[in-house]
Amino acid sequence: MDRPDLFVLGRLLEVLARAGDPPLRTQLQQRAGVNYTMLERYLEFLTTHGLAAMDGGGRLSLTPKGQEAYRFLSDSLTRIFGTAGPGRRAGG
Amino acid sequence: MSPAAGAGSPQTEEGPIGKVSARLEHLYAGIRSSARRSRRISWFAWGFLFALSGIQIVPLLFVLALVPSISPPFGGFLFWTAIGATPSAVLFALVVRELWVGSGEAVRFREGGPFPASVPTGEPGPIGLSLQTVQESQKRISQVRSELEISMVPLVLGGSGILFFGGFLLLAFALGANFANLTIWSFALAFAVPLAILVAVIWVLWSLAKLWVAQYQEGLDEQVLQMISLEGEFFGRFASGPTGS
Repeated sequence: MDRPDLFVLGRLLEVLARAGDPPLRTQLQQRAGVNYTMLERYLEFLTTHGLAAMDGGGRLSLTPKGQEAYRFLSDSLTRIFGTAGPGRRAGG
Repeated sequence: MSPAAGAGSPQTEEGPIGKVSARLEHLYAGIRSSARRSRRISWFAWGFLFALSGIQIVPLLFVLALVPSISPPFGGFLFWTAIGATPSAVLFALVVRELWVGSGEAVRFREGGPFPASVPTGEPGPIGLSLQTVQESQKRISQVRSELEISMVPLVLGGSGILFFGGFLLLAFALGANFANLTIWSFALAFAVPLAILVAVIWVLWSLAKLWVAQYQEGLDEQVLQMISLEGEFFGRFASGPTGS
């Protein structure tokens, strides 16, 4: 896999970090807004590097390393880009 | 990997990264808006020059055709000149307005404030947020800069035309219209005043255009540098090798 995109990675980490119950793949895909092919690639990356783990029921959760990565990424992206936006007008 | 093909708008409750994404999507909407605005400025600027070149045609046609049947002031050359000048004046005003609004939006972006409602955000096709997208935005802003630079050409050309026209008007009306008694200094003064006005106007417009582009360019340049640094740090720290957990 090429070097993953930090924003997509960040979205996936954020969904996993903020989910009340560990989500299934399809739930993660919907909440992060990525397509299935991309989800598979990024999940491979996350699990290979020990950032996320899947239990026997196919539910995904962050590892401690993944939680640290999420905090690092959210702090860094917020510092670089800020969040002073127009509320939720943005919608692409 | 390009995220543009697969990343859409997330449907999660908004966390910090979701907020950054929203901010970025809005910023890129602002950049797309700038690109459209610079194109409009280009059209208005060339239209201004075209309309200006037609100024003398309108009064000549009307004076030639209507002088016998219309009484002053409607038959006057100056009246029809004013009528003929209206389209170019309107187009020039539109150029100024677009430059003003564009630079205002750029300043608000740089200060981290919200964009005005005039910036559309609902364009189709999610752009996918990535370093690649930030770099693409840099390219777009460079194009905006080029378009704005080229738009200055018709403004300067048209302004020069007005300069000579204004100079002759000054000579004819303000300085007495007796050409035989005018000195070289009178001629110099007559053209120096409009020239000074022209230089001032073009300088103001050019400053607005530069401010506009610089606000986006500096912000994007910073973001690209910081993103490159962040990528290196993130992957070095969290993905330097398969570790498992």
